[in-house]
Amino acid sequence: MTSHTVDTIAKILVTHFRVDAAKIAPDAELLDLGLDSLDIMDFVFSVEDAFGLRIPDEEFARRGVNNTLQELGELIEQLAIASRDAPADIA
Amino acid sequence: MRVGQVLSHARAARHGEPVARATPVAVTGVGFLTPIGRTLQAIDDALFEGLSMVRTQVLEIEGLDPATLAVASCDFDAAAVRSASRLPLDRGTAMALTVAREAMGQAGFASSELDPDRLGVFWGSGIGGCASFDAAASTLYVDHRRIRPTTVLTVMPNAAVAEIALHFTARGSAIGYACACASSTVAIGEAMHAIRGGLLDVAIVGGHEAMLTPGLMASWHAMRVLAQPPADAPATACRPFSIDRAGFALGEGAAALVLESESHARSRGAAVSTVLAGYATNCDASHITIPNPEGQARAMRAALRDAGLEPRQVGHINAHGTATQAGDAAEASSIHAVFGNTVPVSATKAIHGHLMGGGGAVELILALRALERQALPPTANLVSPDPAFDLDFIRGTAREAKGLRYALSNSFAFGGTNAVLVAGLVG
Repeated sequence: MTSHTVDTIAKILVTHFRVDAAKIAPDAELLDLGLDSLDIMDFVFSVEDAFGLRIPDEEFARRGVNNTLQELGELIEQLAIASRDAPADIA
Repeated sequence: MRVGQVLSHARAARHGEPVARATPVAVTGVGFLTPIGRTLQAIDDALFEGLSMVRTQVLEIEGLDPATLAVASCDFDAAAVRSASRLPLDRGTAMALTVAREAMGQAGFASSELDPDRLGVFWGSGIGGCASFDAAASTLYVDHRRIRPTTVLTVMPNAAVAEIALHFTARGSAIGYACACASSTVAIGEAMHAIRGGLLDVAIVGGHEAMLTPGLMASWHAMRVLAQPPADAPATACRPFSIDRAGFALGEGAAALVLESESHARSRGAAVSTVLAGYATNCDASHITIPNPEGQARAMRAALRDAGLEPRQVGHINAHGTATQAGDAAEASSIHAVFGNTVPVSATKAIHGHLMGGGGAVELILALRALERQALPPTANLVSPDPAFDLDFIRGTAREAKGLRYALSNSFAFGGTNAVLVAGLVG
Protein backbone atom coordinates (compact mmCIF):
# COMPACT_ATOMS: atom_id res chain seq x y z
CA MET A 1 0.00 0.00 0.00
CA THR A 2 1.44 3.41 -0.93
CA SER A 3 1.75 6.19 1.62
CA HIS A 4 -0.64 8.29 -0.48
CA THR A 5 -3.36 5.66 -0.09
CA VAL A 6 -2.75 5.36 3.64
CA ASP A 7 -2.61 9.13 4.18
CA THR A 8 -5.79 9.75 2.22
CA ILE A 9 -7.77 7.12 4.14
CA ALA A 10 -6.35 8.35 7.44
CA LYS A 11 -7.27 11.93 6.62
CA ILE A 12 -10.90 10.96 5.92
CA LEU A 13 -11.11 8.97 9.14
CA VAL A 14 -9.69 11.78 11.24
CA THR A 15 -11.50 14.71 9.59
CA HIS A 16 -14.91 13.24 8.84
CA PHE A 17 -15.24 10.55 11.48
CA ARG A 18 -13.12 12.05 14.24
CA VAL A 19 -11.10 8.89 14.68
CA ASP A 20 -8.11 9.25 16.99
CA ALA A 21 -5.09 9.36 14.66
CA ALA A 22 -3.11 7.22 17.12
CA LYS A 23 -5.52 4.32 16.56
CA ILE A 24 -4.98 4.20 12.82
CA ALA A 25 -2.91 1.12 11.93
CA PRO A 26 -2.92 -1.33 8.97
CA ASP A 27 -4.48 -4.14 10.99
CA ALA A 28 -7.15 -1.97 12.63
CA GLU A 29 -10.68 -2.99 11.67
CA LEU A 30 -13.12 -0.18 10.91
CA LEU A 31 -15.24 -1.44 13.81
CA ASP A 32 -12.26 -0.98 16.15
CA LEU A 33 -12.00 2.63 15.00
CA GLY A 34 -15.56 3.22 16.19
CA LEU A 35 -17.32 3.13 12.81
CA ASP A 36 -20.76 1.54 12.69
CA SER A 37 -22.75 0.36 9.67
CA LEU A 38 -24.14 3.87 9.02
CA ASP A 39 -20.68 5.44 9.23
CA ILE A 40 -19.38 2.84 6.80
CA MET A 41 -21.81 3.98 4.10
CA ASP A 42 -20.63 7.54 4.43
CA PHE A 43 -16.99 6.50 4.76
CA VAL A 44 -17.08 4.43 1.56
CA PHE A 45 -18.72 7.41 -0.18
CA SER A 46 -15.88 9.68 0.89
CA VAL A 47 -13.20 7.16 -0.04
CA GLU A 48 -14.71 6.67 -3.49
CA ASP A 49 -14.76 10.43 -4.11
CA ALA A 50 -11.22 10.85 -2.84
CA PHE A 51 -9.81 8.17 -5.13
CA GLY A 52 -12.17 8.81 -8.03
CA LEU A 53 -13.42 5.23 -8.17
CA ARG A 54 -16.36 3.08 -7.15
CA ILE A 55 -16.08 0.20 -4.74
CA PRO A 56 -18.54 -2.55 -5.77
CA ASP A 57 -20.83 -3.46 -2.88
CA GLU A 58 -19.91 -7.13 -3.00
CA GLU A 59 -16.20 -6.36 -2.69
CA PHE A 60 -16.63 -4.44 0.51
CA ALA A 61 -19.83 -5.73 2.05
CA ARG A 62 -18.44 -9.21 2.65
CA ARG A 63 -16.50 -8.02 5.65
CA GLY A 64 -18.17 -4.64 6.20
CA VAL A 65 -17.09 -3.12 9.49
CA ASN A 66 -14.54 -5.92 9.87
CA ASN A 67 -12.46 -4.73 6.93
CA THR A 68 -9.01 -3.70 8.06
CA LEU A 69 -7.37 -0.58 6.71
CA GLN A 70 -4.79 -2.82 5.00
CA GLU A 71 -7.56 -4.72 3.18
CA LEU A 72 -9.33 -1.52 2.22
CA GLY A 73 -6.11 0.04 0.94
CA GLU A 74 -5.28 -3.00 -1.17
CA LEU A 75 -8.80 -3.07 -2.59
CA ILE A 76 -8.54 0.61 -3.53
CA GLU A 77 -5.21 0.12 -5.26
CA GLN A 78 -6.49 -2.88 -7.23
CA LEU A 79 -9.52 -0.91 -8.33
CA ALA A 80 -7.36 2.12 -9.20
CA ILE A 81 -5.10 0.00 -11.37
CA ALA A 82 -8.11 -1.63 -12.97
CA SER A 83 -9.72 1.66 -13.82
CA ARG A 84 -6.39 3.39 -14.54
CA ASP A 85 -7.71 6.35 -12.64
CA ALA A 86 -5.14 8.54 -11.01
CA PRO A 87 -5.94 9.00 -7.33
CA ALA A 88 -7.19 12.50 -6.65
CA ASP A 89 -6.36 14.55 -3.57
CA ILE A 90 -9.17 15.25 -1.21
CA ALA A 91 -9.90 18.80 -0.29
CA MET B 1 -53.27 15.99 38.20
CA ARG B 2 -53.90 12.54 36.80
CA VAL B 3 -54.50 11.61 33.16
CA GLY B 4 -58.27 11.28 33.57
CA GLN B 5 -58.51 14.65 35.23
CA VAL B 6 -56.51 16.25 32.45
CA LEU B 7 -58.75 14.72 29.81
CA SER B 8 -61.91 15.96 31.50
CA HIS B 9 -60.22 19.33 32.00
CA ALA B 10 -59.36 19.52 28.30
CA ARG B 11 -62.90 18.43 27.39
CA ALA B 12 -64.43 21.09 29.60
CA ALA B 13 -62.09 23.69 28.15
CA ARG B 14 -63.10 22.69 24.63
CA HIS B 15 -66.77 23.01 25.39
CA GLY B 16 -66.40 26.40 26.98
CA GLU B 17 -67.33 25.30 30.47
CA PRO B 18 -65.63 27.01 33.39
CA VAL B 19 -62.82 24.87 34.75
CA ALA B 20 -60.71 24.89 37.86
CA ARG B 21 -57.20 26.22 37.30
CA ALA B 22 -54.92 23.39 36.16
CA THR B 23 -51.53 22.82 37.72
CA PRO B 24 -49.01 24.97 35.87
CA VAL B 25 -45.82 23.43 34.51
CA ALA B 26 -42.51 24.94 35.55
CA VAL B 27 -39.95 26.43 33.16
CA THR B 28 -36.59 25.49 34.65
CA GLY B 29 -34.23 26.29 31.80
CA VAL B 30 -34.02 28.25 28.57
CA GLY B 31 -31.55 28.41 25.69
CA PHE B 32 -31.75 30.55 22.60
CA LEU B 33 -29.96 31.47 19.44
CA THR B 34 -31.58 34.47 17.80
CA PRO B 35 -30.75 37.31 15.45
CA ILE B 36 -31.04 39.66 18.45
CA GLY B 37 -28.45 37.75 20.42
CA ARG B 38 -27.44 34.71 22.40
CA THR B 39 -27.32 36.11 25.92
CA LEU B 40 -30.08 37.39 28.21
CA GLN B 41 -28.36 40.78 28.26
CA ALA B 42 -28.33 40.95 24.46
CA ILE B 43 -31.98 39.98 24.01
CA ASP B 44 -33.07 42.28 26.85
CA ASP B 45 -31.23 45.18 25.24
CA ALA B 46 -32.83 44.61 21.85
CA LEU B 47 -36.26 43.66 23.23
CA PHE B 48 -36.84 46.54 25.62
CA GLU B 49 -35.15 49.15 23.40
CA GLY B 50 -36.92 47.90 20.27
CA LEU B 51 -33.65 47.46 18.34
CA SER B 52 -34.16 45.61 15.08
CA MET B 53 -31.43 43.31 13.75
CA VAL B 54 -33.04 43.04 10.33
CA ARG B 55 -30.65 43.73 7.45
CA THR B 56 -30.58 43.16 3.72
CA GLN B 57 -29.28 40.25 1.71
CA VAL B 58 -29.15 40.06 -2.05
CA LEU B 59 -30.47 36.80 -3.45
CA GLU B 60 -28.58 35.96 -6.60
CA ILE B 61 -29.50 32.86 -8.57
CA GLU B 62 -28.33 32.31 -12.12
CA GLY B 63 -31.13 33.02 -14.56
CA LEU B 64 -33.19 35.10 -12.11
CA ASP B 65 -33.22 38.82 -11.44
CA PRO B 66 -31.30 39.61 -8.24
CA ALA B 67 -33.60 40.41 -5.32
CA THR B 68 -32.81 42.39 -2.19
CA LEU B 69 -34.52 40.74 0.78
CA ALA B 70 -34.97 41.68 4.41
CA VAL B 71 -33.39 38.96 6.56
CA ALA B 72 -32.33 38.41 10.16
CA SER B 73 -29.53 35.91 10.65
CA CYS B 74 -27.65 34.46 13.59
CA ASP B 75 -23.94 34.64 14.28
CA PHE B 76 -23.44 30.89 14.54
CA ASP B 77 -20.93 28.34 13.25
CA ALA B 78 -22.91 25.13 12.66
CA ALA B 79 -19.81 23.19 11.61
CA ALA B 80 -18.39 23.48 15.12
CA VAL B 81 -21.30 21.54 16.68
CA ARG B 82 -20.67 17.86 17.44
CA SER B 83 -23.51 15.43 17.91
CA ALA B 84 -23.88 12.03 19.50
CA SER B 85 -24.84 10.54 16.12
CA ARG B 86 -21.64 11.93 14.57
CA LEU B 87 -23.67 12.75 11.46
CA PRO B 88 -23.04 15.94 9.57
CA LEU B 89 -25.68 18.28 11.00
CA ASP B 90 -28.00 20.56 9.12
CA ARG B 91 -27.56 24.17 10.25
CA GLY B 92 -30.99 24.07 11.89
CA THR B 93 -30.28 20.82 13.70
CA ALA B 94 -26.98 22.22 14.95
CA MET B 95 -28.87 25.25 16.27
CA ALA B 96 -31.46 23.03 17.93
CA LEU B 97 -28.88 20.87 19.67
CA THR B 98 -26.99 23.95 20.84
CA VAL B 99 -29.99 25.61 22.46
CA ALA B 100 -31.21 22.33 23.97
CA ARG B 101 -27.82 21.88 25.66
CA GLU B 102 -27.96 25.44 26.97
CA ALA B 103 -31.45 24.99 28.37
CA MET B 104 -30.58 21.67 30.02
CA GLY B 105 -27.38 23.19 31.40
CA GLN B 106 -29.41 25.97 32.96
CA ALA B 107 -31.94 23.51 34.39
CA GLY B 108 -28.96 21.93 36.15
CA PHE B 109 -30.09 18.34 36.65
CA ALA B 110 -27.88 15.96 38.54
CA SER B 111 -27.87 12.64 36.66
CA SER B 112 -29.81 10.99 39.50
CA GLU B 113 -32.59 13.55 39.06
CA LEU B 114 -33.55 12.47 35.54
CA ASP B 115 -35.44 9.27 34.75
CA PRO B 116 -34.74 8.70 31.02
CA ASP B 117 -38.14 7.03 30.52
CA ARG B 118 -39.89 10.15 31.83
CA LEU B 119 -37.81 12.63 29.85
CA GLY B 120 -39.32 13.70 26.51
CA VAL B 121 -38.43 15.87 23.54
CA PHE B 122 -41.12 17.95 21.77
CA TRP B 123 -39.67 19.98 18.95
CA GLY B 124 -41.00 22.16 16.15
CA SER B 125 -39.63 22.95 12.73
CA GLY B 126 -41.70 24.15 9.82
CA ILE B 127 -39.63 22.57 7.11
CA GLY B 128 -36.66 20.65 8.49
CA GLY B 129 -33.16 20.46 7.04
CA CYS B 130 -33.46 23.29 4.52
CA ALA B 131 -29.74 23.82 3.93
CA SER B 132 -29.11 20.08 3.53
CA PHE B 133 -31.98 19.71 1.09
CA ASP B 134 -30.96 22.78 -0.89
CA ALA B 135 -27.35 21.59 -1.05
CA ALA B 136 -28.38 18.08 -2.11
CA ALA B 137 -30.62 19.48 -4.87
CA SER B 138 -27.80 21.67 -6.10
CA THR B 139 -25.35 18.76 -6.10
CA LEU B 140 -27.76 16.62 -8.11
CA TYR B 141 -29.21 19.10 -10.55
CA VAL B 142 -26.46 21.72 -10.93
CA ASP B 143 -23.24 19.80 -10.34
CA HIS B 144 -24.65 16.49 -11.61
CA ARG B 145 -22.92 14.63 -8.86
CA ARG B 146 -24.18 11.98 -6.47
CA ILE B 147 -25.32 12.99 -2.99
CA ARG B 148 -24.16 11.74 0.38
CA PRO B 149 -25.71 8.60 1.90
CA THR B 150 -26.62 10.65 4.97
CA THR B 151 -28.82 13.09 3.02
CA VAL B 152 -32.13 11.68 4.27
CA LEU B 153 -30.94 11.79 7.86
CA THR B 154 -29.94 15.44 7.67
CA VAL B 155 -33.05 16.57 5.77
CA MET B 156 -35.76 14.78 7.75
CA PRO B 157 -37.86 17.16 9.86
CA ASN B 158 -37.35 15.11 13.05
CA ALA B 159 -33.53 15.19 12.79
CA ALA B 160 -33.32 17.69 15.65
CA VAL B 161 -35.70 15.66 17.82
CA ALA B 162 -33.56 12.58 17.30
CA GLU B 163 -30.26 14.35 17.99
CA ILE B 164 -31.58 15.93 21.19
CA ALA B 165 -33.07 12.64 22.42
CA LEU B 166 -29.82 10.83 21.64
CA HIS B 167 -27.71 13.45 23.37
CA PHE B 168 -29.74 13.42 26.59
CA THR B 169 -30.86 9.77 26.47
CA ALA B 170 -34.47 10.93 26.50
CA ARG B 171 -36.48 7.73 26.22
CA GLY B 172 -39.97 9.19 26.68
CA SER B 173 -41.96 10.70 23.81
CA ALA B 174 -39.72 12.29 21.18
CA ILE B 175 -41.96 14.00 18.67
CA GLY B 176 -41.43 16.52 15.89
CA TYR B 177 -44.18 19.00 15.14
CA ALA B 178 -44.56 20.58 11.71
CA CYS B 179 -47.28 23.23 11.71
CA ALA B 180 -45.47 26.02 9.90
CA CYS B 181 -45.16 29.19 12.03
CA ALA B 182 -46.92 27.52 14.97
CA SER B 183 -44.64 24.46 15.11
CA SER B 184 -42.71 25.22 18.28
CA THR B 185 -45.74 26.72 20.02
CA VAL B 186 -47.62 23.48 19.45
CA ALA B 187 -44.59 21.42 20.53
CA ILE B 188 -44.34 23.38 23.78
CA GLY B 189 -48.05 23.21 24.49
CA GLU B 190 -48.34 19.50 23.77
CA ALA B 191 -45.39 18.84 26.09
CA MET B 192 -47.03 20.91 28.81
CA HIS B 193 -50.17 18.80 28.55
CA ALA B 194 -48.11 15.57 28.61
CA ILE B 195 -46.40 16.69 31.83
CA ARG B 196 -49.66 17.87 33.36
CA GLY B 197 -51.19 14.51 32.47
CA GLY B 198 -48.46 12.71 34.38
CA LEU B 199 -46.94 11.07 31.29
CA LEU B 200 -43.55 12.75 31.73
CA ASP B 201 -41.63 14.57 34.47
CA VAL B 202 -39.43 16.67 32.21
CA ALA B 203 -39.47 17.70 28.56
CA ILE B 204 -36.96 19.48 26.38
CA VAL B 205 -39.11 21.62 24.11
CA GLY B 206 -38.77 24.32 21.49
CA GLY B 207 -38.07 24.68 17.83
CA HIS B 208 -35.83 26.00 15.13
CA GLU B 209 -35.73 27.13 11.55
CA ALA B 210 -32.68 27.84 9.42
CA MET B 211 -33.83 28.61 5.93
CA LEU B 212 -31.66 31.45 4.72
CA THR B 213 -30.67 29.27 1.79
CA PRO B 214 -31.08 30.25 -1.87
CA GLY B 215 -33.93 27.83 -2.52
CA LEU B 216 -35.97 28.75 0.55
CA MET B 217 -35.33 32.47 0.20
CA ALA B 218 -36.49 32.24 -3.41
CA SER B 219 -39.60 30.32 -2.29
CA TRP B 220 -40.58 32.98 0.24
CA HIS B 221 -39.75 35.78 -2.16
CA ALA B 222 -42.00 34.20 -4.78
CA MET B 223 -44.88 34.28 -2.31
CA ARG B 224 -44.66 38.08 -2.02
CA VAL B 225 -44.95 38.13 1.75
CA LEU B 226 -41.46 39.46 2.45
CA ALA B 227 -40.90 43.11 3.26
CA GLN B 228 -38.99 45.21 0.76
CA PRO B 229 -36.20 46.69 2.91
CA PRO B 230 -35.74 50.48 2.58
CA ALA B 231 -32.22 50.97 1.20
CA ASP B 232 -31.27 53.57 3.82
CA ALA B 233 -32.94 51.83 6.79
CA PRO B 234 -33.23 48.05 6.38
CA ALA B 235 -33.91 47.64 10.11
CA THR B 236 -37.32 49.27 9.60
CA ALA B 237 -38.41 46.72 6.99
CA CYS B 238 -40.86 44.88 9.24
CA ARG B 239 -43.55 47.13 10.74
CA PRO B 240 -46.22 45.06 12.53
CA PHE B 241 -49.69 46.63 12.90
CA SER B 242 -48.49 49.76 11.12
CA ILE B 243 -50.56 51.60 8.52
CA ASP B 244 -47.64 51.07 6.10
CA ARG B 245 -46.86 47.46 7.02
CA ALA B 246 -45.51 45.50 4.09
CA GLY B 247 -44.54 42.01 5.17
CA PHE B 248 -41.91 40.33 7.29
CA ALA B 249 -38.18 39.70 7.33
CA LEU B 250 -37.05 36.13 6.87
CA GLY B 251 -35.20 35.07 10.00
CA GLU B 252 -33.38 32.07 11.40
CA GLY B 253 -33.06 30.95 14.97
CA ALA B 254 -33.84 28.43 17.67
CA ALA B 255 -34.95 28.33 21.26
CA ALA B 256 -35.36 25.59 23.83
CA LEU B 257 -37.05 25.43 27.21
CA VAL B 258 -36.96 22.77 29.87
CA LEU B 259 -40.48 22.09 31.14
CA GLU B 260 -40.85 20.23 34.39
CA SER B 261 -43.73 19.23 36.62
CA GLU B 262 -43.88 21.50 39.63
CA SER B 263 -43.54 18.55 41.99
CA HIS B 264 -40.42 17.30 40.19
CA ALA B 265 -38.87 20.76 40.22
CA ARG B 266 -39.75 21.22 43.88
CA SER B 267 -38.37 17.81 44.87
CA ARG B 268 -34.93 18.67 43.50
CA GLY B 269 -35.00 22.21 44.85
CA ALA B 270 -34.93 23.88 41.42
CA ALA B 271 -35.54 27.62 41.27
CA VAL B 272 -38.80 28.30 39.44
CA SER B 273 -39.71 31.84 38.45
CA THR B 274 -41.95 31.25 35.43
CA VAL B 275 -44.53 28.66 34.42
CA LEU B 276 -46.72 27.65 31.53
CA ALA B 277 -50.29 27.99 32.68
CA GLY B 278 -52.31 27.25 29.57
CA TYR B 279 -52.30 26.21 25.94
CA ALA B 280 -54.70 25.58 23.11
CA THR B 281 -54.49 24.81 19.44
CA ASN B 282 -57.07 24.52 16.69
CA CYS B 283 -57.39 24.94 12.94
CA ASP B 284 -59.24 27.56 10.91
CA ALA B 285 -60.02 24.95 8.28
CA SER B 286 -61.13 27.81 6.07
CA HIS B 287 -58.16 28.72 3.86
CA ILE B 288 -54.58 27.58 3.45
CA THR B 289 -53.09 31.06 4.05
CA ILE B 290 -55.84 33.58 4.82
CA PRO B 291 -56.11 33.73 8.61
CA ASN B 292 -59.52 33.53 10.24
CA PRO B 293 -60.13 35.82 13.23
CA GLU B 294 -62.81 33.51 14.58
CA GLY B 295 -60.42 30.56 14.69
CA GLN B 296 -57.78 32.70 16.40
CA ALA B 297 -60.27 34.01 18.96
CA ARG B 298 -61.42 30.44 19.69
CA ALA B 299 -57.80 29.44 20.30
CA MET B 300 -57.14 32.38 22.67
CA ARG B 301 -60.34 31.69 24.64
CA ALA B 302 -59.51 27.99 24.87
CA ALA B 303 -56.00 28.75 26.10
CA LEU B 304 -57.41 31.03 28.79
CA ARG B 305 -59.87 28.33 29.88
CA ASP B 306 -57.02 25.81 29.92
CA ALA B 307 -55.19 28.15 32.31
CA GLY B 308 -58.36 28.81 34.31
CA LEU B 309 -58.06 32.54 33.64
CA GLU B 310 -60.36 35.37 32.64
CA PRO B 311 -59.22 37.74 29.87
CA ARG B 312 -58.83 40.59 32.39
CA GLN B 313 -56.13 38.61 34.23
CA VAL B 314 -53.81 38.75 31.21
CA GLY B 315 -51.49 41.74 31.24
CA HIS B 316 -49.60 41.36 27.98
CA ILE B 317 -49.88 39.73 24.56
CA ASN B 318 -46.87 38.94 22.41
CA ALA B 319 -48.76 38.91 19.13
CA HIS B 320 -47.95 36.77 16.12
CA GLY B 321 -47.66 40.12 14.28
CA THR B 322 -46.15 39.18 10.92
CA ALA B 323 -46.70 42.68 9.46
CA THR B 324 -48.58 41.26 6.47
CA GLN B 325 -51.77 43.07 5.47
CA ALA B 326 -54.07 40.11 6.08
CA GLY B 327 -52.24 38.62 9.06
CA ASP B 328 -52.20 41.72 11.24
CA ALA B 329 -55.79 42.64 10.33
CA ALA B 330 -57.05 39.21 11.39
CA GLU B 331 -55.06 39.19 14.63
CA ALA B 332 -56.05 42.75 15.59
CA SER B 333 -59.65 41.69 15.13
CA SER B 334 -59.34 38.43 17.09
CA ILE B 335 -57.48 40.03 20.01
CA HIS B 336 -60.12 42.75 20.16
CA ALA B 337 -62.89 40.14 20.13
CA VAL B 338 -61.43 38.39 23.19
CA PHE B 339 -59.82 41.22 25.16
CA GLY B 340 -61.28 44.48 23.87
CA ASN B 341 -58.66 47.23 23.74
CA THR B 342 -57.41 46.96 27.30
CA VAL B 343 -54.55 44.46 27.04
CA PRO B 344 -51.17 45.86 25.93
CA VAL B 345 -49.89 44.23 22.73
CA SER B 346 -46.34 43.94 21.35
CA ALA B 347 -45.03 42.19 18.24
CA THR B 348 -41.37 41.25 18.34
CA LYS B 349 -40.92 39.94 14.77
CA ALA B 350 -40.00 43.54 13.92
CA ILE B 351 -36.64 43.04 15.67
CA HIS B 352 -35.80 39.34 15.10
CA GLY B 353 -37.60 38.53 11.88
CA HIS B 354 -39.96 35.66 11.26
CA LEU B 355 -38.32 32.56 12.71
CA MET B 356 -41.01 30.18 11.43
CA GLY B 357 -40.77 26.89 13.33
CA GLY B 358 -38.49 28.55 15.88
CA GLY B 359 -40.65 31.65 16.26
CA GLY B 360 -43.10 30.42 18.88
CA ALA B 361 -40.32 29.28 21.22
CA VAL B 362 -38.29 32.47 20.85
CA GLU B 363 -41.38 34.64 21.31
CA LEU B 364 -42.45 32.67 24.39
CA ILE B 365 -39.02 33.30 25.92
CA LEU B 366 -39.40 37.01 25.16
CA ALA B 367 -42.83 36.95 26.82
CA LEU B 368 -41.21 35.32 29.86
CA ARG B 369 -38.60 38.10 29.92
CA ALA B 370 -41.40 40.67 30.01
CA LEU B 371 -42.94 38.85 32.98
CA GLU B 372 -39.62 38.61 34.81
CA ARG B 373 -38.66 42.21 34.14
CA GLN B 374 -42.19 43.51 34.79
CA ALA B 375 -41.86 45.56 31.63
CA LEU B 376 -43.56 45.38 28.25
CA PRO B 377 -41.44 45.62 25.10
CA PRO B 378 -42.33 48.12 22.39
CA THR B 379 -43.20 47.03 18.87
CA ALA B 380 -40.27 48.38 16.90
CA ASN B 381 -40.99 50.41 13.77
CA LEU B 382 -44.61 50.99 14.78
CA VAL B 383 -44.97 54.75 14.34
CA SER B 384 -48.49 54.98 12.96
CA PRO B 385 -50.74 52.06 13.87
CA ASP B 386 -53.41 51.14 11.33
CA PRO B 387 -56.41 53.22 12.48
CA ALA B 388 -58.65 50.22 11.81
CA PHE B 389 -57.03 48.41 14.75
CA ASP B 390 -58.51 49.27 18.13
CA LEU B 391 -55.80 47.86 20.43
CA ASP B 392 -53.38 49.15 23.06
CA PHE B 393 -50.08 48.86 21.15
CA ILE B 394 -46.87 49.46 23.05
CA ARG B 395 -44.84 51.84 20.93
CA GLY B 396 -41.61 53.79 21.14
CA THR B 397 -40.33 52.76 24.54
CA ALA B 398 -40.90 49.89 26.93
CA ARG B 399 -43.74 50.28 29.42
CA GLU B 400 -43.43 49.47 33.09
CA ALA B 401 -45.85 46.72 34.16
CA LYS B 402 -45.70 46.25 37.92
CA GLY B 403 -47.90 43.37 38.96
CA LEU B 404 -47.84 41.72 35.52
CA ARG B 405 -48.71 38.11 36.19
CA TYR B 406 -49.84 36.44 32.94
CA ALA B 407 -48.93 36.89 29.28
CA LEU B 408 -50.13 35.32 26.05
CA SER B 409 -47.92 34.29 23.15
CA ASN B 410 -49.77 33.82 19.85
CA SER B 411 -48.74 31.79 16.80
CA PHE B 412 -51.02 31.65 13.77
CA ALA B 413 -49.69 29.55 10.93
CA PHE B 414 -50.05 28.82 7.23
CA GLY B 415 -52.34 25.85 7.01
CA GLY B 416 -54.69 27.46 9.50
CA THR B 417 -53.12 26.15 12.70
CA ASN B 418 -53.63 28.54 15.62
CA ALA B 419 -51.69 27.98 18.83
CA VAL B 420 -51.68 30.05 21.99
CA LEU B 421 -49.58 29.68 25.13
CA VAL B 422 -50.29 31.34 28.47
CA ALA B 423 -47.16 32.09 30.50
CA GLY B 424 -47.20 33.03 34.17
CA LEU B 425 -44.92 34.47 36.81
CA VAL B 426 -44.50 32.60 40.09
CA GLY B 427 -45.20 34.43 43.32
